Amino acid sequence: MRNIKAKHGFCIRLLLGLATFCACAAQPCLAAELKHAALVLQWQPQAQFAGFYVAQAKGFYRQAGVDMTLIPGGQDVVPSRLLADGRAQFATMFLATGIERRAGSQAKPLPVAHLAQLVQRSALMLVVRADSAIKTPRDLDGKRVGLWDNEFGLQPRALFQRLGIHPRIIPQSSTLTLFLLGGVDAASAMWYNEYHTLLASGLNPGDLRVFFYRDMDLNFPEDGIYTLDKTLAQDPSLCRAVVDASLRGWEYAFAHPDEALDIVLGQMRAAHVPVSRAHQRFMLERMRDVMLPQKPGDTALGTLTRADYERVANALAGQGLIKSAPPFERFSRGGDMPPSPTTSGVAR
Amino acid sequence: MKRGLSFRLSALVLTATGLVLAAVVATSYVIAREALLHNAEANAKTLAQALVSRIEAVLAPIPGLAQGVAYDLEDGDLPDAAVERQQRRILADNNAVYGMAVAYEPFAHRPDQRYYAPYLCRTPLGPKMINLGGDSYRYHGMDWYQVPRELDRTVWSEPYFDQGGGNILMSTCSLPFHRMENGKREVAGVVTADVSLEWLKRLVAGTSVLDTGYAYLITKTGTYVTHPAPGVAFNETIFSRAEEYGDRELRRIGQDMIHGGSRFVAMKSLHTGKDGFLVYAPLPSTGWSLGVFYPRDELLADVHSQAMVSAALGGGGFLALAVLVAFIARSITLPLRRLTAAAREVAGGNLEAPLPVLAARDEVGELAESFANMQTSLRQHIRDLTQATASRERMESELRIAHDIQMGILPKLFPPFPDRPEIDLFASLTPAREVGGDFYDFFPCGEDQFCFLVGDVSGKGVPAAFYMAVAKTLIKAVAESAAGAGQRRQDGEDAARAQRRGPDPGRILARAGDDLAQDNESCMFVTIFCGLLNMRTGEVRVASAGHNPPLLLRAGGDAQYLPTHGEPVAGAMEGVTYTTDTLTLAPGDTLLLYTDGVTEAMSPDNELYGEPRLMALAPELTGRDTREVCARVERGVRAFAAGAEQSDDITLLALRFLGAGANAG
Repeated sequence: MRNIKAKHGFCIRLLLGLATFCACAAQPCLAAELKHAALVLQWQPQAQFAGFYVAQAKGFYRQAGVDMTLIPGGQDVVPSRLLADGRAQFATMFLATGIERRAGSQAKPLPVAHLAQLVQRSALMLVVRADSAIKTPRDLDGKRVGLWDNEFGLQPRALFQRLGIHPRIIPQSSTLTLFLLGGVDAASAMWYNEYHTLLASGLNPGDLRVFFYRDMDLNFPEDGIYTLDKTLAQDPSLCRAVVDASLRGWEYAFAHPDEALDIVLGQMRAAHVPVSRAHQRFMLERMRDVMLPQKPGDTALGTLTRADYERVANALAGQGLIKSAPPFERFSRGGDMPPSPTTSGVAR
Repeated sequence: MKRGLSFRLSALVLTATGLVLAAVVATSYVIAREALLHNAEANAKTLAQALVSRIEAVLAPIPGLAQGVAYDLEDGDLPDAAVERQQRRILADNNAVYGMAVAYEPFAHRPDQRYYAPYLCRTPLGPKMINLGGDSYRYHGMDWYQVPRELDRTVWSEPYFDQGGGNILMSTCSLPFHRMENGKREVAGVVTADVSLEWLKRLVAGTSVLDTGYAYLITKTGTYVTHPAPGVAFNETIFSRAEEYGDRELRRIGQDMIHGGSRFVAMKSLHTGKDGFLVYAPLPSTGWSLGVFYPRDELLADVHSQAMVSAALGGGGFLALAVLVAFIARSITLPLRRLTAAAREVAGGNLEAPLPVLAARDEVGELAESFANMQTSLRQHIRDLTQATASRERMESELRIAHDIQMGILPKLFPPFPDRPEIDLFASLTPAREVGGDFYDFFPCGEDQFCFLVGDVSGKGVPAAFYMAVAKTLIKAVAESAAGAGQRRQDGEDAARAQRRGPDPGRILARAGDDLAQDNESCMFVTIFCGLLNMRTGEVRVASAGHNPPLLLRAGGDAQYLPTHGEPVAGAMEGVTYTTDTLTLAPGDTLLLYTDGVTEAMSPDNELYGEPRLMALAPELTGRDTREVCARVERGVRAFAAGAEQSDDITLLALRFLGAGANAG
């Protein structure tokens, strides 16, 4: 990886400004000056990451001076690990994951810096069959509950701890087959993904009962953009460029859902993962629901509030998942990036 | 364009025939279609079931193979080599099996080994044994292992893309095997048999269903295993596809399919956009479901072609019939049209126009016959009419001549005696018809004597005219002979006596009446008023044979009707005598004679003119000359009649005595 010296930053910005006025003419000469960066996503290509793929496909990263590589996640891909070993400079993570990594509960603390918060409302839920005996989360005690590993396990474990119940945890695979065949009583689901998978497996909404963690005082904001303190310190303008281009990608995706779906579906086909336009459309619509403000007072896209941070940090600390929460200012470093170039606003 | 009988006849017949034909074709089409659809349902179910059986023939033995390995593993601690030998044998003997794994629970194979899963799979170079499991392939959390382990039963996995194993799309039949641990039967691992889905895809996709029909397979969660549309298999479920197309019916069908339903339903294909029928049936071993779509139009192609043939036959027949009907209609109406042309010529006046001769003994033939009869009668009638008209014209001409003759025998020269200034006389006769029975006459009759008379024969027309001529001639002859006798003064006779022997109106009427009465077989008669004026003295002797009393207009203004004696008409019988009265006219007195045509003139209200009205006219007649008197009376009568038809001759004779000393000038 080649790092551009900080003193060249001004030149880059100047060229960026030029690029927006004569994008076609400017791009060939910019190519030599592009900064290389990699962003690792939590999961396989899907509409959950539409904004990033759109930003990539529409050239928003290049326009921001970044030669971006998007690394899709997967069952065996841990974004923080890729950050730690330098395979990626940026990562998307759940807020709880970010705090846990920084606090270092189990592993060595990783100095992750939060740059922008994307998903403000938790989409994680528990799904049970409507005709089962489980009417409230408390009824899960002793039942077989499918949970995912890693960050997806934080809210459920916090919930079980708070409720003092002891469900039998079954590791949940990437499919809901076990739940559909009755192998577990409850399954974890993301509203925008697995919930629709159940609907697309022939279950009607009325056949299911869902428990949103966000409704149980466990609204852990999810996807956010992270980097390491080191990267932020070395090249804050790169961080700014990546964040701005990503947010621009999201805004474009929400404004042009069909085009965004085409881009996402193309990525999915390339990755040999099942592609269903209906499913991805549902996902993009739900991403909009959990990312964009839904009512006055909702947090704006990109912003992490101290209240959200403290809720997650306190919950993690209170349940012993972390020893102590890092200070908000040390964690949320969006403010340490240089201000957005005005031209990027025009370009949007 | 005028639409003739043949057009209407053809149109009616063809419309009715066309409707019947169309109904027959449509009905037979519907019946054939229903029969075919009924058969199609049975055929479709049979085909689907046959396909199910072929798939089952491959899939059904798979669990048994895995089960066999599981039993061996449960029965005793097999050396790893023995397990591998068994895996190799199964792969060698079963083409359907792509790979086979025996995957152990963490640390179940060896206490220090989290992952142990010997997996034998086919490669182009022959079966190859690899060991699954590791940090990048944590199989314990994968469906093919976890689901049968948790459910503790045989499970066919959803189709999946096995990145760590065979790197192909496959489905795995997995079942747990157990070990006794501390007296409890615990799951020790899972035996799997992988089945490539390529053959299944080829089998189902290769199933030809008519032309554009197709078969597809969905799993227990509705995922398409095969589908003719690209990008659908393994990507979409029947439900996501239904959602994408907003097809609620497809979602209901999908729910029935994944619950093991089997039906034949009408639906529209999202793939081809065609209407058709879907038959679906479950695959018992996997719980998957096979759907076969039959496009309706292709299913009904035979019926359609049959319907097309019958429609073409019907249409051809219809056209032939149309030509035939038109020909027949024309041949039926041709005589009518010829008759019409002939009738038009006859109507134009050509009664001799030849009529078409028709051989047919039908209604048209009868019409033609009647028409010929009509033409004959018409000709006859016209001939008769021509003759009648000719004879009437002749008669009218003769009557006109008779009129002229009759008028000719009446004196018409006024003043009649220009050399005698004592009298002023005017007479007029207006006949009601060409000839009439009225007459008047005046003539000198002896010295200073002047005879004048007015007569009216009974009846009208030609007989009356003849009688009038006879009467007038007779009276004149009688009067003149009497005058001659009077002038031949016999010896010793004085003038007065001779005078008395001379003409006397009474005697004249009596003699004339006797002559008329002789041989009067027609019993006609005549009324006469006859007068003799002595032009020197103004003495007038008068006699009336049943005639209207004349009006005397005195020069002084008095007017009166001369009294009569009510003596009979002349000519009715012999031997009648008439009284002669005498009166004297003063100079300026006028005597007006008339016939009953004046007094019996009728107004439009059938009112008679009458003598009082004539009397009322008297004051304006007094002192007028005779032409003016006659004119005024006539004008008065005509005004009274006011256009009513004149029923009788109107005859007027006015005599004005101007006195012996009157000057002719």
